[in-house]
Amino acid sequence: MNRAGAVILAIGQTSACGVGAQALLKPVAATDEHEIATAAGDVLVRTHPAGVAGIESLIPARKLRRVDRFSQIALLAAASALRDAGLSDGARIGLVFAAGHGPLGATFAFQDGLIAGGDREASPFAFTASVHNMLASQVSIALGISGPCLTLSALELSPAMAFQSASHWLARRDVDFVLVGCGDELCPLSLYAAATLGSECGLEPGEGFVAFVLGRDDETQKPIARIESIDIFDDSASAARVLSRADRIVHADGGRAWGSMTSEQAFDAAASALRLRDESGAKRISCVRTAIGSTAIVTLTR
Amino acid sequence: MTQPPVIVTGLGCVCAAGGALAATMASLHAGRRAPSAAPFKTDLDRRYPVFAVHDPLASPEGLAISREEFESAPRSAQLALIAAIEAIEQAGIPSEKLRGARIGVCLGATVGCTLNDEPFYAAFKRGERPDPAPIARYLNGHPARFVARALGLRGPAALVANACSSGADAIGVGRDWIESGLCEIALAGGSDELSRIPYLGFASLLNMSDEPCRPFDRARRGLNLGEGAGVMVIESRAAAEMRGGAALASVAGYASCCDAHHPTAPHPEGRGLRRAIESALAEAGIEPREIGFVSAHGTATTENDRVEGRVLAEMFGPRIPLIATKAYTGHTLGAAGAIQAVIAVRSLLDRRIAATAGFEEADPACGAHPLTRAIDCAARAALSTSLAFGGNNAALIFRRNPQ
Repeated sequence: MNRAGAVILAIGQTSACGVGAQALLKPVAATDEHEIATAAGDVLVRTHPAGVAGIESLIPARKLRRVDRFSQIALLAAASALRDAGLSDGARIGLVFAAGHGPLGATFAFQDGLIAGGDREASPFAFTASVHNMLASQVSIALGISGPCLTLSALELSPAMAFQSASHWLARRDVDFVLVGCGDELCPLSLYAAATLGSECGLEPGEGFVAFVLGRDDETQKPIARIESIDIFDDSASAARVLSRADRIVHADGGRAWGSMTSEQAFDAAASALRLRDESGAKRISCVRTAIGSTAIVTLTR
Repeated sequence: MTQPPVIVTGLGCVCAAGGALAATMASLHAGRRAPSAAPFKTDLDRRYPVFAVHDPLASPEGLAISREEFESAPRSAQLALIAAIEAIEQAGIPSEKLRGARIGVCLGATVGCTLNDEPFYAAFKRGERPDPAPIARYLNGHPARFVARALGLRGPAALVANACSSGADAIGVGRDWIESGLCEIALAGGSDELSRIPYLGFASLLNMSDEPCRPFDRARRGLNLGEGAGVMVIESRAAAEMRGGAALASVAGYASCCDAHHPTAPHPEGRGLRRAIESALAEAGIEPREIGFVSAHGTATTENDRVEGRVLAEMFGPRIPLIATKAYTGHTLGAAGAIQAVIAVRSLLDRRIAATAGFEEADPACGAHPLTRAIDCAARAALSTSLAFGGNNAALIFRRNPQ
């Protein structure tokens, strides 16, 4: 078991459940339905889209000029988490984002411009927005975070990797707090992928961003929950040993209100942390994501 | 928290300067560079030279995947694997020991983590319901997972997508994995391929040069794109000793800081770069005067070279020996920080620093400038710096003959 020694001090999120951490505990979320034309016929794809209602109350409008929609979703989650944590010294805050598939809207907006106008009309703004770490950059600029900044992509295992990096920075005392963010964005091509590659498993793509403020586990903090361990195993026996200690196990299986995302495990962790704080019962919850023969387990305690 | 430094036991590199590290170093020391026309068509009025890997990428022997799977993989993934194998061979890890070994793979990438299949996307936009195979290829071609799968490795596998500092940051993340016990050995570095999308993107930003780049030169006109991969085998000293591996150098310091200033331009005073270097020096426990040379980011853009040069001059003195490897490799984006670092370690071991091609006249605004002829260097420590879109700054310090 790989002990983390970190605590969750604040959570911000926006997803199909709405805006704000407590919204994750709602049983019902907004969904859309799309008829996607494929070579095999039309396929119905249900999605779980997010929204950016209320962002102006957290970020001045002038800072949102030329900020794309996915960046706004991330900003909303990150800003609310930082506000709730009451942090101000950006130099001692690090930032780790789990990119999933990156800013899909911006990626394809750049290609849309090439298709419409040709190579000579390539948009420098669209290209810049499509760079994978631009999400983290927009957040660092808007919120004044100047510590280490990392964007990771390990697809479905990205949240666990992000938590692991953050925990290690805290243990090394490189920073005092880390803003960990994980999210995914819907776009027409992701619906097409769901209709073609994901249709057999009933994939319902989700969209959203969840942000955590992590700190070191010491006597001064009043955390929402503790991150006891972060493990990535290639063998089922090791995973089973960790899971045997959990009061509750949450598998990222695409079945929850926020839909199926590479960042699903992060949303599970957020909801689990809130339940540990607010509900009696489970004292240790393990959030699990399995992909390509690896099992990532993030275990939380009160 | 003080940890024994992670050590470097193997180096691998494939780039325009050479199909392996020895060939790359030979090109640098001969002042030989090979820019070429882009290997794809555009409708732009101007043509910008690139630094391409011209040798065919042959499927290595003894892989845990088929030749067909190698040949159908994205080029970024192929380049990463070739550099990784070179590094593993130098580290003295026999291939039979790789299968099932818990070795992490942490690679920087930009093109490699994006779905950039233009014909597929154009067909989709036209409503033609195209075969989704390119999507599957993108998912299966994740360079870090591909390298792990090809070598039969167990262990964490992730890409660092920090734009131009990705390769340097990936070495830092790999180091973190070893320190935290996630794995004892890691393949850390970066890989990227030439592609129309970033070529057109950088052209739109008006920061590419239509001649071979001239890092830190007074007449510099911008960057040239390149492709390639740089990979190190890094491990805990205990892991190396247990298997009889020899330490080439140690990762004495690593730090990353964000400018929080502008999406594309560096902070005008190099605020984040300065803090990253200071933090790396503090971690390594060395003074600036102990740094023998700097392997600089040196893109040959007006602002990068000005900011980076000034920070290096102010922190190490204007005469600090400096090499800008992009003169030979082009800007390899996600691979850049790793290729620079591999070359820095090799230069430390060889005790000789190559001159930088294309640099002829110093720009007073830069403060520091590259070598115009090769020099011997007995110093034991070198610094490698990276600056990136998004305001990321990374500093790596390597020490020869680790204590």
